[in-house]
Amino acid sequence: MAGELLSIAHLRAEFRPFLSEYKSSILAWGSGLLGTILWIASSVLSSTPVAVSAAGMYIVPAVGYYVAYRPFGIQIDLTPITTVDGEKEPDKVAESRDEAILREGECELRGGVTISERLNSFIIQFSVPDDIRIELRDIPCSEHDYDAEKNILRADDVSVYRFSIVLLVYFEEYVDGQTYEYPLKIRDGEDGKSIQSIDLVTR
Amino acid sequence: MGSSSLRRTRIPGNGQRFRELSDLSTNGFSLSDVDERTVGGLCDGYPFDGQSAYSGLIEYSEDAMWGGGREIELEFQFRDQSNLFILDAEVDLPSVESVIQRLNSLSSDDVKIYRSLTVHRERLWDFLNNADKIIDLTLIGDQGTEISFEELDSELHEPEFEIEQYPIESATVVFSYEGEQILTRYTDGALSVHSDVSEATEYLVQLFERDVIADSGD
Repeated sequence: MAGELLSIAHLRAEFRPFLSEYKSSILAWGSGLLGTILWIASSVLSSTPVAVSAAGMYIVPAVGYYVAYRPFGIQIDLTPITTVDGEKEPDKVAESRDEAILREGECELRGGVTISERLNSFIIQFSVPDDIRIELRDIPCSEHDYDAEKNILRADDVSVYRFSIVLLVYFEEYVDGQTYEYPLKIRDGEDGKSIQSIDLVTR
Repeated sequence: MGSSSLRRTRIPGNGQRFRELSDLSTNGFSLSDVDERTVGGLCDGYPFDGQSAYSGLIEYSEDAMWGGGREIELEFQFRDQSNLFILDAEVDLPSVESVIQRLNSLSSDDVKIYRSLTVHRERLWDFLNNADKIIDLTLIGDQGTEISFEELDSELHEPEFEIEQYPIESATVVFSYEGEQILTRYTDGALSVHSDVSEATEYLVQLFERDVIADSGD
């Protein structure tokens, strides 16, 4: 894949996870603080070299971080599904809050996974607390393996970079009237980085 | 018409472990002694010929919304090589899930009956395409919305539309075995088989085990 132009979808698949992780790093915090100090100093001193240094202080660490820790390459967009008049529909309100509402103790989530074309393999781990179960509706591609006990979806020689998934999350023993909030965490199983987190809410 | 609902299960050890399920009876929910039989192949190239099937009866009372209720009797079966759990009912049940949930909560942590079969999408498509007739089909589109049978008709003319990449929300198909029509429905990740002839049901279960469950050797 090296040398080939990557599609917008795959650049997006890399950029968003990178930005999300970089923003929460100490490096971003430190370089942002120093860059801001230099930027203020450049204004006070009217110094172009200081202004350039300030810009460099923002950009160089980000580029260095990207080069050092690349590839960042799994993007997952999940939409919780709700039932309206017996029809299943995307629950855009819950999605905008990064929530999924467990009605009668369960919720279905549908969505797409984009794997960066720079990745030859991937491991996606879905994790929920003990009281909750999570199941993948089907195994999307023939090159995928799924471990139902550990809730791990993986592929070694990736050739399909975009595919759809359907998840079912439900209480092991549902008791009506309980109000809880549980996290559903989706991680990159290679390095443990969080890809997405959704609050599973009962109301 | 009798129906059989197929689920995937995990029971460590072997089928003998399944016998212990008969000790799980509680108030209003009882399991009878488990019998063992050997499964003989009905379809060509059946990969689980000789596997053991452990079966027994579940009896419980189903509450009615306005009082009363009814006694329900279900036959259950566990196949020790394909790891399928099958619930057979002669009546329509409001929720097979509630029975599965009770079995899961009664059994120990290492025994699990899953709600979804979680099979390879591609092989499920092949299985459904081999049916004699597709009566209904609903897919899940890119944005999580459903694509109905009617909408599919127009989509199929789009050159870039690859139908088999989409997850199946539900499918109703008909297979036949020695003149007997077997209505088969895949929905919410589980398969149900509807036939009054037990051998026809067994044939369909074996087709599913062969074409979808068995190791494809990829």
